[in-house]
Amino acid sequence: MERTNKKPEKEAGQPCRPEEIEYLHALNRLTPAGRKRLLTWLHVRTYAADEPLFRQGEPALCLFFLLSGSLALEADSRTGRPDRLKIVAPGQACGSAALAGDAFYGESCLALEPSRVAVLPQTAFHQLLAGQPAIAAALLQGLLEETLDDWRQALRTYSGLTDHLTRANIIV
Amino acid sequence: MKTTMPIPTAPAREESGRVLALALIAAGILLPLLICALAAPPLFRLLLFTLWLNGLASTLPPQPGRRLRLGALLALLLLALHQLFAPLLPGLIASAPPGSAAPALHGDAALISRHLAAGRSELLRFARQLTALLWPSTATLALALLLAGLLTALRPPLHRELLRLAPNRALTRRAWLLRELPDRFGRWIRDESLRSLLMGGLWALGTWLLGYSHPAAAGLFMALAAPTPFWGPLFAAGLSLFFALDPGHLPLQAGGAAIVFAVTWLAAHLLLTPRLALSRPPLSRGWTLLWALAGYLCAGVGGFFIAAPLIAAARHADGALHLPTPRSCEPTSPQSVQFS
Repeated sequence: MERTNKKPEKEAGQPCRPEEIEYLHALNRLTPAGRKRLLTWLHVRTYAADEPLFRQGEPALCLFFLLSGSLALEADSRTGRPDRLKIVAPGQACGSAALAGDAFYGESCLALEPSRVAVLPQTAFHQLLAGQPAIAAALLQGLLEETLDDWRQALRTYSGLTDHLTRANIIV
Repeated sequence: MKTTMPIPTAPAREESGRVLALALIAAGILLPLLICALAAPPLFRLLLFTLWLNGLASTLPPQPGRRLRLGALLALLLLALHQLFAPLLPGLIASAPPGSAAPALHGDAALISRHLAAGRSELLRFARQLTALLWPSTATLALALLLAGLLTALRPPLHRELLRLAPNRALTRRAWLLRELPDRFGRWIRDESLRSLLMGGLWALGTWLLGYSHPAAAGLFMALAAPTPFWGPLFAAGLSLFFALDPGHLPLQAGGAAIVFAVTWLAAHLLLTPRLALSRPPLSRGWTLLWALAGYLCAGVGGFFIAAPLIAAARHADGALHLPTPRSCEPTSPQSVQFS
């Protein structure tokens, strides 16, 4: 009989395999050689449901790529109940503030279900930037594309909502 | 639009707890080194130089090619300087003091002269002990260079592995420690070394021009005192007066020393402080004096020299060990963080 509540494999990270990062959107612009180079810096972690990956206001030191499961990005609000900003789907990245230098996470991230993520430490990005800037630039471009997609999506939702409200106002 | 958000100040931890934590960390740094220095001085020298070189190496530029070239250049420079100074050092620091008191002196002048001679002899003995404890043999220096080079080369894989082995809940804390510890200590060690070199060198040159009996020892004291903010250089300048020739020359040499001191101080502040100010942990002058005096009471002149750097090291370690709590982050290098 299959156990429904599966325990995470191990709390420490595991080495990352090449096939695991094949479908990550942020790495689309990387060449196979670049991916191989990046792979040495990545490791895979498993998070249980409701386990936080990082909290709002913490120093941003790791970038996460979701391999499986789902994550939620939430921001503190004045009401006390956090605002859910986004659900991160497999293939997407979160915690991009880690690449912005001495920055802090602007939102909290927690696993909604048992999830596997690939972790890229900030140091790795700095090493790449110094030693192999082409790989770092490709990674940044990939992340920028992903961020722009998010931004367009948010704008579409927002404009749809305002449009709806305007129409409602007119009718009223 | 870009907005600049100042980082809030450090969490308001209990002051007594903070002082206790600092004292514990300082003891944790000092005790192993002290035991090592007493039990096995060659091992102590190796450890000290490896740590120092490792700190310097962590501030080398991140580009692998430039890092290697500069690292090799630094190693060769250190070996060359060591070879140059090794035969000269005993003569510079530990030569027999010149005629202690002129026989023609009487009364107060003779008394001052006797005091100066006694103080000079005591300081030279301390300088001899210090150089015997700290000056490495060529083999020790070469081994320290090799170890520091190896550690520098192994740092990225070691960093990766240490981060990978961290449990989920400690990932950010481990990443913070691995980033901050070499960064904070490296910048601090580099900056204090530069400051010591500049101030010690200028002071030795100035006192030599003024005709002091042991300018090298005076320079050594200034170099040792430079990491103690504000009070250290003043203390070292005061100690240097013991190397003045005799009471007859003392006022003239003291006046000259005041000018040299002003030049040294200004040079250090104009050349180094604007670039290096951020690596020194903030510590008020009152606290610095208190720690330095406590060090003096415990271990004499050596205690004075070591107290403030020890507290600075403890503060750096404390900053690297404690992850800033959400929304109360201690700034490392920048004074503000930009969010777009």
